[in-house]
Amino acid sequence: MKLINFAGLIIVFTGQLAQADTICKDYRDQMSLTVVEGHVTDPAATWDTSLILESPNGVSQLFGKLSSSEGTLAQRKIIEIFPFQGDTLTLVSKPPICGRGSCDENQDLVLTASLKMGTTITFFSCESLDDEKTP
Amino acid sequence: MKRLLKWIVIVTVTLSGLLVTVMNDNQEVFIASKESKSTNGSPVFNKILWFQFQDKDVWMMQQSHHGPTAGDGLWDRLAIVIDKTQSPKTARFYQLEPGPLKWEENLKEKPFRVSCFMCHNNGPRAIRAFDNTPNHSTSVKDKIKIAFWNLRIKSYGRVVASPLHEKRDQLQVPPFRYRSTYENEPVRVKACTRCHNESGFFSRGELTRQHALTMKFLVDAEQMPPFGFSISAQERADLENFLNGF
Repeated sequence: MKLINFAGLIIVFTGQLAQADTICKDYRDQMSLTVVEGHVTDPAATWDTSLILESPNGVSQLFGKLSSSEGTLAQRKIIEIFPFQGDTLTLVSKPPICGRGSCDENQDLVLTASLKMGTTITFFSCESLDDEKTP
Repeated sequence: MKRLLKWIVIVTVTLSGLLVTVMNDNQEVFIASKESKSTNGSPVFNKILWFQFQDKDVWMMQQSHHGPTAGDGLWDRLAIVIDKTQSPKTARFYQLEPGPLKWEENLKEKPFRVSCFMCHNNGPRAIRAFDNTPNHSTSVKDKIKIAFWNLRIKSYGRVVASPLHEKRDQLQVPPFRYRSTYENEPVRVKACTRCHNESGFFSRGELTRQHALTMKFLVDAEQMPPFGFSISAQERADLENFLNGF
């Protein structure tokens, strides 16, 4: 694994449902990552996620598709990034450090992300911003 | 020489007698847990008692998240019952209504406060106590007893959860064990799997993602790997990746 300087990554899920935003920053505080979750109802669409990279080097946009979402107290989502040749964004949520009786399912979860582009992996620390869902 | 031998025998017999007395006094140990913390980060206090029966061992615990002198109603009461008639041994976990450290069949159960399996992948765990905290010191007698009890716990070898928990997990929240594929992905770091596997003499059960909190505590506290075993820098990096959920 190798941490690299990378443009900030903003992931935007667009669609008809209103969104849950997640903002992430890499551990060197040089990049930002925003995730907005939603659905694209068009079954022909090949992507349901829009990714915007933001860094000192500039901004670029990527697209992706949610390929798996699993877990209960700890959860992992994997988004495959277009053109779907192995690049992925992995989003993990898990409970904070706790001991018996202090592990509360309602506590704010710790969110982290891992962006794999080619052979390079960059890790982010994230924060959730929830919006209300609208029909 | 004869005199020296005589004194050795006297001291050995006396110490053995004291040890047997301490072990059989039917008193609980009272400790501040080295691992557990309350929601505000303050120490958690445990009173633990071991009941021995021919077919089972019962480890019963009262736990306070409100200091060592909390009122009776504020002490959680839990139990782990080891069925010694099975091979491997099985462990049944109980959360009980508050009450004394006295084992009876059919005690009234409560829903789990937290998933037991998050910390207990192999039945009861070694008792790890602070020697001293601002509110409590572990007595010498308790330290001796804990050392002996930890040997007893080690002697169980591989302990699997009672199948009853899998049935009940379909309905209860939180469950005994989280059942998703992701949360049951096992760690593959050799420094861990040397013992944390499902077979073999030292088998202590696979560790999975839902054990991450406990794993992190024990590795950070340098209690794992245990004395005599090591973890390489690459393994440590791989383990950190796993503990972070990746």
